[in-house]
Amino acid sequence: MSGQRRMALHFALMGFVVVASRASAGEACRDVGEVSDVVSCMTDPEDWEHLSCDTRCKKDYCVALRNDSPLPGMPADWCLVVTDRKGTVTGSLALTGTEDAKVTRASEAGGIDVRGRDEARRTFVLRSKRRKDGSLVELARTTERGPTTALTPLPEPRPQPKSKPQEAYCSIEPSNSEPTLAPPTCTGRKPAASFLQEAAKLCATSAGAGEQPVSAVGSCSASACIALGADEGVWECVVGQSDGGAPHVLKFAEVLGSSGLTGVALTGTTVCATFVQGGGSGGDIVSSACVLIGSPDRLVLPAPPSRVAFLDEEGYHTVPMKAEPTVDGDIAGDAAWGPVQPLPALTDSNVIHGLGAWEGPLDASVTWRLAQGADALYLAAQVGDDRVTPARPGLSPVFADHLELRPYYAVVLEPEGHASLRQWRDFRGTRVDWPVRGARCRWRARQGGQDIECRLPFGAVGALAVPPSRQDLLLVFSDGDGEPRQKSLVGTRVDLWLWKELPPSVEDAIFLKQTYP
Amino acid sequence: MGIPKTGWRGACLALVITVAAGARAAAETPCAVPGNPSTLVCQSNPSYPRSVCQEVCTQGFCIRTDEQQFQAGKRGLCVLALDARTRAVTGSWSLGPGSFGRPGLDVSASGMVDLTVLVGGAVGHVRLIRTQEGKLQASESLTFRPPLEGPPRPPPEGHCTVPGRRQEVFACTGRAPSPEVVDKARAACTSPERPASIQKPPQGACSAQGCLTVVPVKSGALDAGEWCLVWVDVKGPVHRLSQPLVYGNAFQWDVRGETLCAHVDGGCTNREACLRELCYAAVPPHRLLLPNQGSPLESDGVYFVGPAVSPVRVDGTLDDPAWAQAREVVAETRAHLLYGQRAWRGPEDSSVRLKLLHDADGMLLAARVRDDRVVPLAQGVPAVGTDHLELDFGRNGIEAPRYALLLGADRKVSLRQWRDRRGREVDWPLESQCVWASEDGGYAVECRIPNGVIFFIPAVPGPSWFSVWVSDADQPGTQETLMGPLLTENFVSEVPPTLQEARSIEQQKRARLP
Repeated sequence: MSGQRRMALHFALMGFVVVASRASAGEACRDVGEVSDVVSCMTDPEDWEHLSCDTRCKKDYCVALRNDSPLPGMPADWCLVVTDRKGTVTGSLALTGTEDAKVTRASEAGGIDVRGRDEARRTFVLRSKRRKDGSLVELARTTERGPTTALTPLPEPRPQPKSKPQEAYCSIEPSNSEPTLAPPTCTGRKPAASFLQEAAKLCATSAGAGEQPVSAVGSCSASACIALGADEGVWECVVGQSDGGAPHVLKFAEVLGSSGLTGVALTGTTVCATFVQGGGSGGDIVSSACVLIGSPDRLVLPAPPSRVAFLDEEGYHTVPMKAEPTVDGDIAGDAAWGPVQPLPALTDSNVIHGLGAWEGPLDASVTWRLAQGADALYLAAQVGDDRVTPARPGLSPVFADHLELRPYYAVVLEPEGHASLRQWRDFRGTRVDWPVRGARCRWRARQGGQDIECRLPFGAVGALAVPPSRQDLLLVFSDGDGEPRQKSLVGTRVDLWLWKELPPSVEDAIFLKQTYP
Repeated sequence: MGIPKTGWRGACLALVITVAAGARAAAETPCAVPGNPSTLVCQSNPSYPRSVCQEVCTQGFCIRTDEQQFQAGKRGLCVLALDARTRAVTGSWSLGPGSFGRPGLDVSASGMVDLTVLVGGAVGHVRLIRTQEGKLQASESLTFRPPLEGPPRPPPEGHCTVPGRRQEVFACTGRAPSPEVVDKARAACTSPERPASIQKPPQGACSAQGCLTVVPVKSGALDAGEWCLVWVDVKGPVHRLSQPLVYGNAFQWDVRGETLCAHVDGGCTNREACLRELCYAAVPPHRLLLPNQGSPLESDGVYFVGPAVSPVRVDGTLDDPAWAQAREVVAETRAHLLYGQRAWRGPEDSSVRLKLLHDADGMLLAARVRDDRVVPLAQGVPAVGTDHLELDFGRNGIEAPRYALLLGADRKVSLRQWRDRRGREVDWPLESQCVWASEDGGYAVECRIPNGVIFFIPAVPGPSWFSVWVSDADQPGTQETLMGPLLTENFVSEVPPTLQEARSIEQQKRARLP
């Protein structure tokens, strides 16, 4: 992946707003007359690295999307391909700079819609038309503004610096890549001279600082003060001090992995910093983070009150629960799951395999919940399924209803409410079928589906790391219908953050940024 | 064939078992200027198991080892004598270039320095004398124990030299293949994409069992200097040796019976110092033949973990016939010490002989530990301060998972995870079937670690990279020494592995993890 793309992806993950647009369509990406390369992927659900590889067939034609990325998961050039029923390509459209895409409509008359996500994680809808000669033409393309998370409900917004009345604010003139010594402009109560002197010293001695100390400027709220000092001529060193605390450098740049500080706002002991970077012809990339000054400093996340698991633009965050669930397959009746954010996977955009066979959310859908105990991760899946099919003699577990916690694990439903966690891939991706001892799973049938619960102890489930940690999971419900096939796979990708506590310490936040870039 | 040489070189070096490399590494010269202060800082943290830096001081002087950079970036080992007060270098002695593992130092006040080095699969020893002026001199030349070569092998019956700087075509010695053999070889190598070259005739060398035949092939219409290797058996069958691991960097192929050996130049300036030999069975399935398979793998190296040939009962006796078939790795010298140079009192204080196997249920481990005072788990004593084994996935300071096998009551052994997959300290119990038993002069541990319990132990075939350390605590609560071999493991379905399996493992090592 090029540096530009990596950076764009990174910023997108950070929850930034990217105004620039890269994803585009219109050009052909397959030669007319060639044999399609997309039909076979439909029959191999193990081709999980090309998740959106799927084919829909109508009376006169088939339509498919192919990820042409050399590396799975990377923003890539996607190709929308139309073939005749023999698999010969009759038309195609390129979708460049697209992170993920699904065919959401294919009519007998040739109307084909694609919903996708570009590098900035904006959702776009492409409307196209298959002409009578089989060629494909783009009709319209609409883009939703603002970032979204992967195949999940809209996140709750991150705190914005100006969302509350500010008691103090310092703005920095953008330097346009040239180092500047123009001091920031601050409003609010002036700090004590001693604090500014101390801040200037701290900034001068911080890593990379120039030898010549520069005086600092700052402002105070009722309970804290902030100051900005220059670090090698750039005003990006932020020092904070709460009442009774010691002045210290606030590590915004490390938290965000960013530079280009434009403003710092202080409300109480909460400091929010805004960074702006060039985002290309389409506009700027803006990022922000808020920190609670304290010992240790803590990162402000939009955790709803009483929530132990919640979603934001960066992923799904969990902290240890006080009361852990009882693993018995009863999710609705267990109060421990109450404050846990659900992750529904109910629509066709969640169908990662077998879209043609998928009959709607009553056929196969799932609402996930993830929660953290003291020594384990808990998982709950409320499955919508009109035909519950546990494993039985003569029916392989892979063809029965089961959960997949990709890339490594699966939960196999067994008779009498028992379920077992299995490892289906070793750490290098080799197919295995190993029992995971120590994990406990149970399931329970209910009207319209089944509920599945698991306790996944740290250690026994070797892929999990102790908090603070992150785990990129693809959670999948595989719907079996009693036949030796996987009828459809419905799922959602989760960037799971395991925190030790909320709000997390800045050090833990930096550790996760650096350990899981 | 269009295969990049560097790729094959990486694959080759990872698999090669060193043959007599240390014995050839002969440069013994000063490596520092007397009078200059030493600026080396030894890293004694056990998290850095590959560090070659050691230092032992007496009242008047210190002896220190560290890596030496030779010309052209080649590395070797440097031994320094330092003034204990001023830290000035008084003398030095170097070894290399070559790849030397951790050294062990035993220094007497009289100036006798016993240096142990781990080279590939062997332990080397040299005695140095610190003179009254502070200089270092070798009193004995470097010797290896046991002899690496094993029983002398008969000379090759023929060989073919690969085209290189000095020649444009293969030059073969020994009995040449008959026209009939050449025709068979040419037919086996010809394909629509890569037809046999018409301009360049095949060459070959024969043993009593068959002929190695080299057929130049074209890439499409181009004569790109590529070739294909074919074994034509005297009984008639023809076998194409598909993509040997050393295709790109072998400079000579020997034929001896039904064995084909590739000679590989490791790239050293002193070519003799890093020549390698990789041998294959000529008859399918083409196997990677491991030198000295019957002798112990003395120290750091690649350990091929094979299947148990018969059921293993985990009872601590280590007497199952399957163990007799497993290769043994021995760690019993000062060079095997990861930690505790000063506390170690010799092999009877702490040393280990280790074997690994696998069966359908998991990995099997047998360790015979010499320990003159066995300290099992006891209430109130921290586990790290009792005798135990550690399985460590760390390399060069990179934090990684670590597991411990603790000697409990009633001969039970408990498996704990002490570092998570990101290297953070934890203490998680894990399921295992492990037993320990007291033995004369130590104890034995026998273990089956079920599949999946240790996350980075792979399915077969697959690579892993854990070392097994024995931790000795003669006083409860104090970890005195930590020692063992630095290993990388290849889990294979048979030993020696087939070429196909060896190649699969190398490909896995290069592949992106899911």
